[in-house]
Amino acid sequence: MPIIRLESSDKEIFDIEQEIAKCSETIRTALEDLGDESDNSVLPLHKVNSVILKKVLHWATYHKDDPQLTEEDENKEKRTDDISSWDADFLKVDQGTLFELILAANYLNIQGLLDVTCKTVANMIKGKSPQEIRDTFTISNDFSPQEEEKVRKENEWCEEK
Amino acid sequence: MSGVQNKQLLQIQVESLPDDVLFIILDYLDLNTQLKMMRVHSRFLNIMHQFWRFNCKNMLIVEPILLEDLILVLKSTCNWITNLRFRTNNQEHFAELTKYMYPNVKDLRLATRNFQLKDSDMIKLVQSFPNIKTFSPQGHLTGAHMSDFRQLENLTLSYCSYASGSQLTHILSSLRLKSLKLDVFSNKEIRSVSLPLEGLTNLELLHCDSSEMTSWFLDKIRFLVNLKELKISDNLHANVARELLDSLSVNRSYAKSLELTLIQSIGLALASYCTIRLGSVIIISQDIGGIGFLYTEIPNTKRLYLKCCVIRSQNDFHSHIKALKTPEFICFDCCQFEFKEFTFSGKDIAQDRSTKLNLHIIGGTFNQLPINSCHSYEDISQVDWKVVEEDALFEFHRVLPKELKVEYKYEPFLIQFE
Repeated sequence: MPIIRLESSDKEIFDIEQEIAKCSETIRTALEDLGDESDNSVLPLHKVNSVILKKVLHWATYHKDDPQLTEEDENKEKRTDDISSWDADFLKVDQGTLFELILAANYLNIQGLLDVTCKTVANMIKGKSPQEIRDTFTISNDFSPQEEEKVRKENEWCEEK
Repeated sequence: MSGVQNKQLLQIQVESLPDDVLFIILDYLDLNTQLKMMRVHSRFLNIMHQFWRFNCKNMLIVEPILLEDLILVLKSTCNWITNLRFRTNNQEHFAELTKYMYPNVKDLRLATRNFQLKDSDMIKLVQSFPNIKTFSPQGHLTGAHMSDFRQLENLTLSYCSYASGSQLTHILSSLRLKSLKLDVFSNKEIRSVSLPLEGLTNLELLHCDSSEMTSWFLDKIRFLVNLKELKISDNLHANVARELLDSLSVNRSYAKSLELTLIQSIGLALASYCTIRLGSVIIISQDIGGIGFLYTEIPNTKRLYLKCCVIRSQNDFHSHIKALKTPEFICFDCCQFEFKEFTFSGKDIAQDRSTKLNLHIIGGTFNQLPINSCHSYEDISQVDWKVVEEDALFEFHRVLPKELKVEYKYEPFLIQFE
């Protein structure tokens, strides 16, 4: 099984089977560009640190046999209640890690991981009031009370009561 | 990872994620939640319109928008949009909207400023939106042509200022609506017709005012067996409320919750007429002394929430707690107490009870002045609560666990079934 060497932003080297690494669209494209030379070369991933890369590769290894998403899947109604229990356990991490995983999945272009992490964030938002959403994510309120009221009034006509 | 890092400073915040990632997250939220996000932080307010433009399933279009932009958006998305909320103050923009066909729109809400939609506009809307299930328009509309939306299930007439009883009758005779929101008809219109029962039996949700309830629905309510939510937007006469709860209890034994917002001390005794078992009862009122349960039990409920109530004396409060024998959970939420301290005797409270009482007092304040008088914040302070003679059948709490939190709707009358 061909191996690829990935280098994290903090210079740690990860040896991983190419098949697993290929769930990343970014890595797959890089491998194609490298052609036959890919066997011993090191692929630097400047935007992912070793802690996150380790988690990403853990996810990718577990999901290596997942079927490819078809176009039909992508057009399906967007659900957030279909996260597998393995993924749910995997994503029991602090928010900082969750967002770093999202950024890594986005940079590495790993659709499955990006979807499930974004779903997790969406689930943390659903059913909450604006203030509860701020509390959940420690977002500071950068509106003045007047501005907030204005936005609320603007949307009042079309919000479901 | 190198060394000790200050997580607080370095941690990535959700609002600092790049646009494309936020779009994916927003795409998993329903339109209502998307609208709420606009109030969370300016970052979301700023990207939301762009998001709707790219993500063509849900769309909110409001002025100001240039006609050229509107044409571009409508042309490029009309085949894909499923939810559309459109508000315009420009008749030309409305005309542009109805130039296209939107085969996938299921939910359409329209509002206008500076001009009013008329019944003749409905004909165009029916052609453009042949498959809608949910419709909420605003304008000088009577309800004419609305039955031509053959898939229509959820209709909001509340903003149709010319709503006509005979048009509603026609709609109900030809469609099987699941939800109907009124609160719009004048007494004259209400008296002019009676609604066909067969058009109402599918209703799962009904919002109306007390006149519509009294004349149109009260005698039929027992047949609305699919009803999951009933909301009345103004205060009901106590007799009507009693009759309503009586009728509802003919075919049901349980309701998830009953919420009452009482402006005056109308007879809350209604809760004691009600034979339906209630998951929770929520009462929002300033004056609970006058609403009838000072010495009256509220039966049939395990959970009772009292919001924004004023409790004048320690004696009153003592009597309340002693009188409420059935509820196992009582929450006084943001109530105002006109006494500085109170001592519960666990033994005394437990005396007349067979089940344990969990009493939660959340954010209550002491305020000696009448509620409507001007007061400075210095007058408000916490009441000093004490518990003596503890008993297994009484527990006092100052916080509300998450699973017991309720969302107050502040509706005069709201009953929800499961």
